[in-house]
Amino acid sequence: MKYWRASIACILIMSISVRLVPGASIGLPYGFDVYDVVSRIRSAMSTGKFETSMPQGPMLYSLLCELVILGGISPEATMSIVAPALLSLIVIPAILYARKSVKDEFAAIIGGILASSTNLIVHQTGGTVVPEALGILFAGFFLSLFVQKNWKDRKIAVLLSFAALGTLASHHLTTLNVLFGIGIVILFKIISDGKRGSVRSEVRKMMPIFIPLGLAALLIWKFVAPQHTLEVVNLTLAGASGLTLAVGGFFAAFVVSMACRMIYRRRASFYLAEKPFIFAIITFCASLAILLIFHLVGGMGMDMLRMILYVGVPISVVYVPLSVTGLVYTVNSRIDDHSLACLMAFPTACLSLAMFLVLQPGFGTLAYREVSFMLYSILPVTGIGLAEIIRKASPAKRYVAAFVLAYSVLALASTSYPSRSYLIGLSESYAPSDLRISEIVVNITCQGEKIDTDVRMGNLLLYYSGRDINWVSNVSYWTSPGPPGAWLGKSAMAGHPVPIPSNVEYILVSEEMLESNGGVVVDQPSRRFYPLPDAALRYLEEKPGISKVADSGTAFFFYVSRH
Amino acid sequence: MPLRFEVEDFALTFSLLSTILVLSFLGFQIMSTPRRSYIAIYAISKEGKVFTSNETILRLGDGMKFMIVVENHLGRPINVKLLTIFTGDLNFTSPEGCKGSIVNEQVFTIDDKGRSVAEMEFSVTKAIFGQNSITVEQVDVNSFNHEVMAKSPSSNQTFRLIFYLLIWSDDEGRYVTKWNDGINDHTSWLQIWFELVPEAVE
Repeated sequence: MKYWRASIACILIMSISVRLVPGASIGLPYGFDVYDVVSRIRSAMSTGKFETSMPQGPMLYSLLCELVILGGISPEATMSIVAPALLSLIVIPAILYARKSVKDEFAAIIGGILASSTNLIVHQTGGTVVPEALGILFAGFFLSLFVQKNWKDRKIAVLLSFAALGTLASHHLTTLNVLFGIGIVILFKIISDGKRGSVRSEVRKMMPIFIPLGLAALLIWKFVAPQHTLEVVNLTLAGASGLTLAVGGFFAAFVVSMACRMIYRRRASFYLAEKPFIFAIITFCASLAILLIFHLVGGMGMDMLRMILYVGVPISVVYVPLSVTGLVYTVNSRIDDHSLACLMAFPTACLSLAMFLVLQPGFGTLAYREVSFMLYSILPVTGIGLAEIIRKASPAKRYVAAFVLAYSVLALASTSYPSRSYLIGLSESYAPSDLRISEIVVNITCQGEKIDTDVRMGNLLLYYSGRDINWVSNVSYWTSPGPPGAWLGKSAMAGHPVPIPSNVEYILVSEEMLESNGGVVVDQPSRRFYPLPDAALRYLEEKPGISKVADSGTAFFFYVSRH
Repeated sequence: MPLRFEVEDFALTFSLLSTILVLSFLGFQIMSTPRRSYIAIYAISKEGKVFTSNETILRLGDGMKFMIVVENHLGRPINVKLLTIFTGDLNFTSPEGCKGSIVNEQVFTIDDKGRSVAEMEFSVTKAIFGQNSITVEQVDVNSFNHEVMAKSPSSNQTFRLIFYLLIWSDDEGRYVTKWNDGINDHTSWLQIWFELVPEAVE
């Protein structure tokens, strides 16, 4: 393709730019998850020794430490500039995967453009400095190698193993998706081979990848990092009933069987795939209508509606029509069985898992975490969908399409850092004064003293103390939701200040929690967001015996005397 | 001349357009996001930690040592005045509306990213302990006596010191209570409640 390298250079610039916007504009790492992640290595960044167990693969933690220690870069600069820039390389494996699978450089470039503008991490928002970003980077390399059939080539085999291990060492959920995807590739291959009467050696060749990777993942999840994957599986099963499991299983199987049907028949048709612009308009109207109906029947509050509209509608309008068009084209094309199986399997794995989860009570809400890998693995199909639309269009229409799509990219990019009003009142970014007061709090309190605050400020306390802080509302994120935490959570839920419980010695309040400010208390135990009434802050300021011992303008630290 | 826009050209044009748009957005976002500045103020005991409950039980005549640390991150040097207000008023609304006596004033110049530490030793030197109330008539701050009149119930922590920070405004030619962080105005103040008990009987 003409301008192949120039196009890749543009995509890289765009990917880096999109991921640098939040950190560069505020001069600090963006996203409160980032501080939770890095709190585990706060001391290791200076001593080089890990003192806290890692909840999942240690790869990102090691990388950040190396950047800080060997690179001589401050932790804040590393997290706000260097790490997002490095992790924006996520577009390279996306382009490689698309190029190898659909064998169309133009489609690969389009896939890369979409990857560069969409923030492909779990929350769709926030910083890229989370293990998932590195996990998807390695998984992307894995997919780009897996889609090639020449695994007997020693170089490819070594690289494939390296990518698999990198994924395993980076992120648990991405590893689970890759494993599930390989399982479905095997199923698809058996089906397409069965049509010819015999299972070919390719299926057998996949086993040396699937079995060791699966066993290694199980051992790590069981013995090294039990907090996340297996615990969530157990809690999901504990919260589910036989009926929800059966219905979820049925829908998951239905998704897989529909994909199997397309693979087997090698034929697909969809009327709207021929009318992409009408399809996009219908998707836009449908995504609005579905959400509005949910809202009107009381299934969704205004805050949640606004957030899903902001993030979900641009992603749906861009990805759904292009993916369906691409899928119809790919299934009907002469693409080889293995590439088709890979292209179909990974998005199918995510979609079926999401369908299963969404029907489970409690932890079903985690289904949204499947979206990122689903979007990433469908990029080649989306790319070929757009490529075919453009190829069929007249030259004049291509000008219009270029502008429309460039603005779509901008809309996708803007989903990465919505303002607080589109995030249920939650602010992902911090003011420097929030960071400083958290550092002061860690320095002026003694080890073990009980501090009440919300998740947003609590992550800063974890960060500055290297997780050595007695944050009373901090419970394992993956435990079942319980009643609201200490004083802040209870007061926010009650809508008025409640008496301060005896297990609270200090209270750290930020302006971002206050109702008058449009903020919320992100209560860890209940996993609910409630605005903190302004009366609660007045209560702390007025109640005799509650001393205000630190003030940074945006956050305040109170000491509760027991005399 | 008819428009010629080949498929091969599309990728680069599309990439360039998107890149220019996103870079413009980046530039706009960075330019339009104000740099957040702030002043931090905190109170610590002479050990550098928050007061414990025992440290806030003040015996008549005994001294209570503490430090008020003021940090300047406003991006410019500032002149500040730290007022120490003593009060027994339980109906508190804000430092401005508080019924109390100013018992100490300290003025500092703090460079950008600098900090100043106001060290204080406070004691109540004259007080009348009634049946249900305590009336404080004289306090001592850094060896200077101040006549005050503060009355409060005798149970638990009912007296307090309020530390109120004023910032010099060149525009207004006087000390003002508010400073701006780039978006919003703020005031800086702290308070420490303590319990006053009679002096020990030998």
